[in-house]
Amino acid sequence: MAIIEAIETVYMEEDTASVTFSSLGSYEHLRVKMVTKSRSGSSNYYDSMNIRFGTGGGAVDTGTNYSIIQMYATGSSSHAAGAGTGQTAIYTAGISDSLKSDAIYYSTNVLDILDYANANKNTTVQSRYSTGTFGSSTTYTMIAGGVWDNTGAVDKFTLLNYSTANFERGSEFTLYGIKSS
Amino acid sequence: MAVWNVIQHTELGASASSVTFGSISGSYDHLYIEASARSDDVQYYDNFGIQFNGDTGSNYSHNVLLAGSSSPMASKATGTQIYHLYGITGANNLADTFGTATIWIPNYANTSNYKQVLGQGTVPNNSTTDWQWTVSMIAGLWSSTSAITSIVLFPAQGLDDFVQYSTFTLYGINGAA
Repeated sequence: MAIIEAIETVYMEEDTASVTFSSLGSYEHLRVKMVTKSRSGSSNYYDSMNIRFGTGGGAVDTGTNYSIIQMYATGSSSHAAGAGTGQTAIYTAGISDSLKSDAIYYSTNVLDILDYANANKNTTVQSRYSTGTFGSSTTYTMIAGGVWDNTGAVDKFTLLNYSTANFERGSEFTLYGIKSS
Repeated sequence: MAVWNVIQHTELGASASSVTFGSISGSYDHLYIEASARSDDVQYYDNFGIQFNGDTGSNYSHNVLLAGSSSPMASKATGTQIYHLYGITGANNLADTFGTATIWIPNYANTSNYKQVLGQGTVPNNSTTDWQWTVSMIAGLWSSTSAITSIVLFPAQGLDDFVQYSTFTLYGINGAA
């Protein structure tokens, strides 16, 4: 049996507010690969993607139980980093904005969630991504991470835009499970 | 043969000063490590020491891109005895929180070339205070043409221990036959 298995792929046939994965299976680690675009119309040419977790069969946690870290470069010379606490989600990716950025460009994101079912650990994530735009658009290349302050085994998670705008039609998300034996 | 293969998975049942992946077969094209680790060093973060084939000589070099404040920094080191990858939470970090590290070692069994490493590490925390969290990437080189047959990982900052529940998985990756 394969070590990496595709659990589910979601391809958005129409603009959609969020995607939730709730059949996570029994793996050691999870990875999500995404090609996405937001419909926010942000003045910054980009949006951000958030992730929220759930455990114990309940709803995803919308409380201020998340902390984030990030390091990024934008444009030709600017670079920065930062951290945030008391967040309602982990900021895990930048997203091209279809209303501002070049129309055909979607952003790319790879997100790792290690030991997601280990009840002795808070859930942490690590991601790397690019907003993938060019020309006059603001471009971001970033690595980021975060922690959900909850040791419950993750049984669902939701991805949504920071702006709460829809993902644009054509956005695609694939969840992989990675085994350890 | 499958493209991805688990060579070894270790979840610590008790604290340990290091984790060794030994007797690594040369039958794969690349190696990949995923680690979720915390140390008992009384700091907010720690870094992985990485050594190959038991080589403790000054045969390692690396470039690091690192942030623990609003200003990312880069550094370079040559003739070192280990690589440093910031990806371990320390004892002062938020309880039950483990760092994440991923490490690629391409062409590890090639006996013509020096060995390269590409790693990413994140140390999240419920703090915005400088250097109580880190984000980093590393590009490393081991100046040896020997095939890699063993890898040792250890918390290098204070030479303390990995704590219970830290996990380490080594994968062997195959190309097309």
